Amino acid sequence: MQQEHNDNTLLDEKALANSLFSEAALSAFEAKQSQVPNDYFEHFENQIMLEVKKRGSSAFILNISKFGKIAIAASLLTIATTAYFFIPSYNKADDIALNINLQDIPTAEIDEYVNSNEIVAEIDWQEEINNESSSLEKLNSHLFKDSNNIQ
Amino acid sequence: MNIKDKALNLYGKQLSNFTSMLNDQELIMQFKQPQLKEAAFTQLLKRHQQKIYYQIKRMVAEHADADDVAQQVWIKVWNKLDGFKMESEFSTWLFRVAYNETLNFLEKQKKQSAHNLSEDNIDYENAAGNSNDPKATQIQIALEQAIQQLPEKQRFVFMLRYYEELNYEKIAAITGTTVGGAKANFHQALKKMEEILKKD
Repeated sequence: MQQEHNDNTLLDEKALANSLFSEAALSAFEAKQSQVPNDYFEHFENQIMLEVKKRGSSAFILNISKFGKIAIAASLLTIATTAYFFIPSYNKADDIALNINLQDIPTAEIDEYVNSNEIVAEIDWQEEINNESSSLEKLNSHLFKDSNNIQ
Repeated sequence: MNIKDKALNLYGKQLSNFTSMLNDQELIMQFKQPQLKEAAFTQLLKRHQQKIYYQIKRMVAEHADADDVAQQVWIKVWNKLDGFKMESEFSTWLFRVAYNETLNFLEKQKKQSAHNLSEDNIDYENAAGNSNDPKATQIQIALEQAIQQLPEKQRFVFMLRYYEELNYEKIAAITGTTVGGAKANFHQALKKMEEILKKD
């Protein structure tokens, strides 16, 4: 029933189009679209199969290149990591320092720099002294124990 | 031809005879098996290539363009058919692929011509390609020009309905619209063509 209704609707709509634009003109349009070169469809089939095979092989290359991409990314990462650890870091501050003349630096700034580093140096020395004295004390106590054992 | 070639030829013919007896659904099942893939695809191609080509040609007008788009369609089918879930008929899916590829082509063509020509200079008469046909009557030329001026979707729907005689459910599935939308597209196409013809 539904199919019959669809068929009737289709026929009605085609009749409407034919009445509006002339059935002959619509048929002529279709006839023109149906013109293809001789043996076109036979050749088309072969053409498609060739194209599919060609693209199939290029798809294989693409698969390889996917792995290749991963390998390249891994290599680059390794190089970057290695470079980070092994290539001596280039300190731009050193380069700048070379271009600075000592006479150009204000005395107050030099004094401040020396003073602050002296404090650091004092603290360092104090630590070293403390360490040395503690290790001497340990040595003394060992010697004292040893001498007791001898007795 | 040696014995091996003869055997292969015979095997190919038998396989071709066998596949020609299968319906689309069975061919798709075969396509999913690597050793039968090519034979199944060739059979589907043989069965549907003309309809697809003609539908594309109605849209793009030139044979060379229709050939290009048809090739794109079948290459896409080869690449995507493994994922086809058979929720619709194969022919519906195939027309949908053709619809998308045709719209892509027309879009590219439009961009190119917009690049080369201003909108005012587009010559619909030459685009229709009918002016040199001595046998064409005035109404044929006018009709072809009117068809060329329809929006792509309306044109596609009109061709599917009038020439392919598809039902609206199928047309709706192909063009990604509702049944009502497909009907509206067909009738809008008729109305617009009528207006264009009246203007001329």
